[in-house]
Amino acid sequence: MHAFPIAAIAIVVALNSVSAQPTINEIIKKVEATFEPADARPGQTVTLKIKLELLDGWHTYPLKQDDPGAKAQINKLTFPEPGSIVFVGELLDPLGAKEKAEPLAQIEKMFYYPGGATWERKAVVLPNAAPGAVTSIIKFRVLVCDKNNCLPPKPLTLDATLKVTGAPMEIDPQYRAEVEKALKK
Amino acid sequence: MYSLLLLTLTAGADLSPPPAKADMKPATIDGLVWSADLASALADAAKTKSLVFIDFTGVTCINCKINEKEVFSKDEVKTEFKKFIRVQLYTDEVPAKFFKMAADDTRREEDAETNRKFQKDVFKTEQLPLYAIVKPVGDGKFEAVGIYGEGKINHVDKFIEFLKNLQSK
Repeated sequence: MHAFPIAAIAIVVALNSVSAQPTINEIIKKVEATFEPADARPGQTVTLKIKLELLDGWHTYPLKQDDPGAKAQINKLTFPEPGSIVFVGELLDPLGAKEKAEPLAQIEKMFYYPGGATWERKAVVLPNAAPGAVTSIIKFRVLVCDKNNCLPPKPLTLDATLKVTGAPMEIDPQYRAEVEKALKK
Repeated sequence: MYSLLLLTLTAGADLSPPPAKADMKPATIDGLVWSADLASALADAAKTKSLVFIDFTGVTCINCKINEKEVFSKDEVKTEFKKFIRVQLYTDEVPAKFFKMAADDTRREEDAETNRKFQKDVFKTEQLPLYAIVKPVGDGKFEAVGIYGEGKINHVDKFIEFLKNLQSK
């Protein structure tokens, strides 16, 4: 006589318990892309910062792992084609990654960032960029895990806006060739 | 933060799997055949009056790999697995081994996205790994009868108990 109510309660408890796991939107406390400085002259070199903050107990991964066994444990960043802003220089993972072995997964050394990380990449404002706001759209595929679980990688689209203002200046010589090459494409 | 979740669902709504894919094929892993097509697995289970064990997994999920290598390979676990129709649903990208012909990255990611949505819609979580046992109820539909949500399996005995207990469903 009481079988049905008990069954119904069991389902509710089960599904509620599973959903107690935080969602990706809860795990990612903050993610943003910003240019520093936010105002720049034509020709100036700026720094794009991509900041990811995670809930306590969760970690993320670098853009590249040295150990082939850990090659899937990475994030991916995709930058826009050159426009008023050209991304230059090498994209490096932030310092301070922790490392651990996962022998059961045949991984000798895997890098990870508890709580998140901030990635940086240089960008050059073109000397002929028109004054005003310029927005770069960056695609960020984020993998997060805790000690027992992972979530499937989350594709994010980040906007970073820069205000072009002031008189043009010379491009930093170390990036000049790279900018010219990008513009020829 | 995520404690052992070993649940038996004693009833369930009529649920539908992702559509069957004719160009997929099973893969043999550690001596056992695993399908990546839940709809076909449910049809097989209906014919043989079996339950279906679903391994929600991912190529980016380390604990999934650890469970599959270290726990699924144990004789006691394999003995229980043989009583089920087994399915692996990858929710990040479906490995090439499950396709009859070469599948490009887009196709493998689209199929994984379908699996991810299915997992979230039915089991209300995207966590990996997640293990579920479902029962065919006719017309290609199923009901969920059990979920094992420990993530990394630290309690192999509990996992085996989960598999054994649901055999009677």
